[in-house]
Amino acid sequence: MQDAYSRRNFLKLSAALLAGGAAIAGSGTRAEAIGHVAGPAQRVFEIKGYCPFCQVRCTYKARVQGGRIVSLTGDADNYWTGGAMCPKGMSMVELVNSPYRITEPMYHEANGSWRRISYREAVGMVADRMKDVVQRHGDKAGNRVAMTMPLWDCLESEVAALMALRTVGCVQALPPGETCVSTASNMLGDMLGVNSGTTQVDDICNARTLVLWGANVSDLYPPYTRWLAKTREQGVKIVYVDPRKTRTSMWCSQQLRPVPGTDGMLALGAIAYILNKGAYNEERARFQIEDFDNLKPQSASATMDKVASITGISEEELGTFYETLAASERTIVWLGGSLSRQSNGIGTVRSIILLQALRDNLIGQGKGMLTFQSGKPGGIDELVDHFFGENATPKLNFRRIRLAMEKGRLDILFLNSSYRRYPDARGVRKAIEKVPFVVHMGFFLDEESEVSTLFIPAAFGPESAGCGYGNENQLAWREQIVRAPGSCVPAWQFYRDVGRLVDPRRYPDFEGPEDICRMMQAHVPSWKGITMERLKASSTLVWPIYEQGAAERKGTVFSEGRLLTPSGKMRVQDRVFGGINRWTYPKGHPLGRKASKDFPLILLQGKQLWHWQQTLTNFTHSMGQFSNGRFVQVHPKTAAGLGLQEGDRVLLETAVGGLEALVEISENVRPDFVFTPANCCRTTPVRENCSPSICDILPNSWDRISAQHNGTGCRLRKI
Amino acid sequence: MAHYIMAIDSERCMNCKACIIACQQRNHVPYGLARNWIRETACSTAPAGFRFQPGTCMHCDDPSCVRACPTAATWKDSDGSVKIDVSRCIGCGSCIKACPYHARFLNPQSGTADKCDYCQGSTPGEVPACVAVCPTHCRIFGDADDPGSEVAGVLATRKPIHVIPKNSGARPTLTYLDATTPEILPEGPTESRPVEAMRPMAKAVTWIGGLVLAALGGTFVRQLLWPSAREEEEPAANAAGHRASNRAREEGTAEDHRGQS
Ligand code: SF4
Repeated sequence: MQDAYSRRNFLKLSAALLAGGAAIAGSGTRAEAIGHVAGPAQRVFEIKGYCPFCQVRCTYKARVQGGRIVSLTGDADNYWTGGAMCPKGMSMVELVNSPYRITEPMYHEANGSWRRISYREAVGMVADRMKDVVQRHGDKAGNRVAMTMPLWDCLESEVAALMALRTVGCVQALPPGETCVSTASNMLGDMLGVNSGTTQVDDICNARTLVLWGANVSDLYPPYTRWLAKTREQGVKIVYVDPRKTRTSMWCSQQLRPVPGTDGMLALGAIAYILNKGAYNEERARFQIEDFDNLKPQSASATMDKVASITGISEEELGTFYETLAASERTIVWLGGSLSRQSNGIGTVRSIILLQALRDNLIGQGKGMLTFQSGKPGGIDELVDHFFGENATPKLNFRRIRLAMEKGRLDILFLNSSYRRYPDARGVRKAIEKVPFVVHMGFFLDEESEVSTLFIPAAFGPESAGCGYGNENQLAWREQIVRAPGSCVPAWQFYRDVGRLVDPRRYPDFEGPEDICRMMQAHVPSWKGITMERLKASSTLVWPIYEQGAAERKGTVFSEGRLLTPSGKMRVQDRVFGGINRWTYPKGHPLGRKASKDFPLILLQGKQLWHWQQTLTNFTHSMGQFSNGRFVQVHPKTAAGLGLQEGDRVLLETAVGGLEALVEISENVRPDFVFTPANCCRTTPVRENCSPSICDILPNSWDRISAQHNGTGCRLRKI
Repeated sequence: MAHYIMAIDSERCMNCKACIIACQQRNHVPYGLARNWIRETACSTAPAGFRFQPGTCMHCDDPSCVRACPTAATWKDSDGSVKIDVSRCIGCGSCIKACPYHARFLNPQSGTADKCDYCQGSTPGEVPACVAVCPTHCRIFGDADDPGSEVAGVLATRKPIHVIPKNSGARPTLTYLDATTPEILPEGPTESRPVEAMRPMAKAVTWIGGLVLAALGGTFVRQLLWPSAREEEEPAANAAGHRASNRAREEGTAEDHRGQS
């Protein structure tokens, strides 16, 4: 008989277990430690690893006993973290041993049941499909295949996967950041010639002013709080722009709480103020801004009273902020992801970058821009091209891929990580359901498994060696710490095995990540100095290093004293994106032109400190113990107006759907918006983390680059 | 002999709870229970809306828990820490009731009293896990008799504050630095210490015993792969219909950028 199970079985079991759990926990006597307790006689080894979640990329020492990880401790040698870690990272101990983990490949039958298959069978099935696409579509095959990233374990897995795609001429690997930092990344690339932060986090100590523009550092990158604390101790003025009071508020001397979605107006106002005051060096500004003369007319309408009325910040507070900017000799602006998540983000980010250029705050020590989720060492495409030739096919963004899926023009989707990161997630799901062959490499029976044809059980980082990379362009090497259970494989292995079957002639031969890493060192100039020996001996190593033995490059990227765009300048009036003078509210914003009166509150969603996206951490009890499932933070005035009390159940509704939430009343939000966490997922057995995805109820709004996650109108109804 | 003290700069605590999970893992404390804690006090003038106070066993002098123990399983050691010899502990719970800080609990796995031991039981000679992982370095631990130690330095230069439950007569050694909220704890039982009590909105949420789920989960996943009989089939779940909204109109660029996830 075939091995099989159905979703109903899954649900029934879940329900039964939940009921049992409730009964037992109610008595208050039972609890289990999830970590592994080995016998006292077994020796303890310490092995270095790194966290797979955020781009702080904390390195740690794993204590391993009896072949299992017993605990993690932050790596005190890590210059960037100082040995700190956040709770998410430590949940890896639970994840690797999770009882919910699926450890064998499975094929999803048309009737919804799963059939267990062997790893060889699974790889063969994928390779056959790939060959079939080539046979049917020839040199057009490439755009019939797509992959969503990230791959969870290491940089080498990414290389192996991109090469597997290239065996059929495909370059459609969708960067995850497309929906979180893409606008900022693209605008930084366009205007500064570098699509990430222009300096490193330790440089904030050299600034006079640090503006955290929507950058909730302490919740998103907890270990980087030490840099905030140090900066404050050194007398640097920290200004935090965020409608919400958060942990980051603790480190700031001023917080501005604008109406969500109006940051662009705040930045325009700053430009106008500085121009009016003459608080800039025109020669330096012209050195960086090609059409400097456009700046004044394009910002002129952002008068103090207009900015105050749109942002909801008093003129007095605005005056203090603008005066700080006008007087500061060295300012670093840290851009938060939320600016990229509103459909007016392009103009906003452009205005902020222009503001920095106007004040000559881009080039030099203690100056520049920082971002989240940046810092990706270059060279991967170079290596892939080395084996597969230069790529001439344009890369498509997710909107185009979604359209292809809806039109039945996509034959294979490699679904790594979560489709629920895209707004209108239910629409995305429907589109995916039109793809005849969806391969999900994952860990649990989650929303992605539901829409996939084939489930490939993935290995967690500690189960394979490889390089991780982080926000500071730093690399960290990890040895294999423990063995993966069952048939779980690291992504590099799966994609290598597929690639070899599809195109054994071109797919390079490698045994593991170390071989790929050596290939990078051999074929990519910027990796030449990143030798295996040096990687293994260092806690972290900052890319690029062009020569063996050369020092790591730290600080500003503008070491030649000019911007890195071809002309060394940026433009106010961009040929593609226009000027900065057409400020509007984000799409669907309650105060926008076409706003519906039915949805008067602004919806904001964001990360919670102990969760990463909608995926892995939701499956852990260690993080569940801190969670409250889906909640909405509501200001006391809003709550009073709606007759809501702490703990009430409400329906959180937007124009495209609704979901249930618990009310938390807090003055940390403004009366005009509600906040809800971004992480929850529907399929987790951990009740405290369980809720449909927030993206289920977000409309499919995009600007020209990224999707809108924040700023749409919503309402709350008591249920 | 060393004289261990933990000092806490609670104004730096941002309530990330890294210390709690680090301790749970290092010392095999079941999730849901904890040897250490973070007390939240709502405060509208505080930048984040709360004042946070991390805590753990206060390693008191002349501790009431030691006086309460009928088997002498717990004692005040000459290194300044209050210790438990689990081989002598009968799990009677007297010490748990006697501790005015609720720093002790009955470990359901060992059946004995459990509390902070500065990680000396799990990783002797190492910095306690909570101290090692703290992103803001708000916990400082070491030998107060060693003038070169960081803890001796802060104890000498900063204002020490001992948080004492009213009328308890407790003599804690855990020292807060300069300021902390609250400075006095109410008389009698304070809040209990399961992690649940540290969650925002804890009262509003029904705690549904996820811990037990984990224990049974192994069977559960085996069931998925080797069920005894094939269940009646149902079509793959279809998402509820969505209303088409703004269709993709503009051609976007999908420039690869430096984001991992
Ligand atoms: S999620 Fe980020 S901050 Fe937390 S442990 Fe992992 S890398 Fe460090």
